[in-house]
Amino acid sequence: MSIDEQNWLALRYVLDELPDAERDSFEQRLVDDPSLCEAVMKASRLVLTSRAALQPEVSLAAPAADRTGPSRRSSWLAICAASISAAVMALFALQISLSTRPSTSVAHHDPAAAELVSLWHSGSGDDSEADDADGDLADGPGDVSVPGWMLAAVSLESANDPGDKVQEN
Amino acid sequence: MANDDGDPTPSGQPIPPERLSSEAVRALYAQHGRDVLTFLAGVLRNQDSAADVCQATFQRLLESGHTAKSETIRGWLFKVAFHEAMEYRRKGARGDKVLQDYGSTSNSEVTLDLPLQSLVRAEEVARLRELLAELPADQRHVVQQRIHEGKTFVMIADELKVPLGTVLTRMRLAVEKLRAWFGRDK
Repeated sequence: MSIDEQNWLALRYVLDELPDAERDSFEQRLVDDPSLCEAVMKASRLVLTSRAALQPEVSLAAPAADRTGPSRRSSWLAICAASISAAVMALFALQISLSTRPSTSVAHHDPAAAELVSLWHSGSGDDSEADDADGDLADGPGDVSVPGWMLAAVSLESANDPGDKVQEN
Repeated sequence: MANDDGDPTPSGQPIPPERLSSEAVRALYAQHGRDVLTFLAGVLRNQDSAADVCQATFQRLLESGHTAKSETIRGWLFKVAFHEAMEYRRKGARGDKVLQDYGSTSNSEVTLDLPLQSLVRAEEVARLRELLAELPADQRHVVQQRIHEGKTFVMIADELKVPLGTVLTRMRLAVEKLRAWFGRDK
């Protein structure tokens, strides 16, 4: 048998492409034929390397000693980046929550301050809202129009002390 | 009797002087271990099983490798590896419980703990990828279908609607080219 014939037979054996009888005969020869064992070894290496080469992405299992720093460093950087991002988002969320609740906390503790705050809010371009509030509440000619800021202050006061009754005309 | 190293066994009895030392076995493992493992992967078609049998093979080398001539130690290793592989396959056929006992080396006073060998090397993969790209399209297709997709030659012939002999010829020509380019006897 030529070397090429032997190599081809060994490849078919590795690929499990030999008929049963031919496979048994081949294995009988392997017991005492080191050159045939070498052919099987080379065929096996070719198949294993080809299988890895034909994959879209090759991932080779490296021995533990070959695992270098960059892979650990990149994972550490990823963890740091994620932590920083989470912290920034938390601060941003906190900033938003603080900026949207300027008056409630003040009104809860100091009604006079709440009135001032509501005055400040109404003074920052809320005339249209005040007009709308006035319009909504107007029951008819001769009624007093109550400015919006006063209503806001009153509602804050009543929220803090339900016992006070405010009569609205 | 004690060997040159004077290493006693755990039972207190000296190791016969003819036996190979652990260091000698480890040196032979570094030299031949990858090839033996690759051979076993081709016989057993399972890399985990091949690793188990490879360890057992070199354990046998420790126990009785002194009987082999140094110039034929490689052939001796392949022979023992194949014998161990057949034994492993026979025990596997008898059931998983028996197979679990395969790994225990009951008669050895010293147990080897050999490092894992990598079957595939990155530089070889890179080189082979280039060589596969240079194959004729029909040969490359057969190689890809058989080795990567895992289809049998019969299935490939059916899909391509060509005779089985045509598929086998394309595969054989491709492999001969790859072996020639890849490096003979590599």
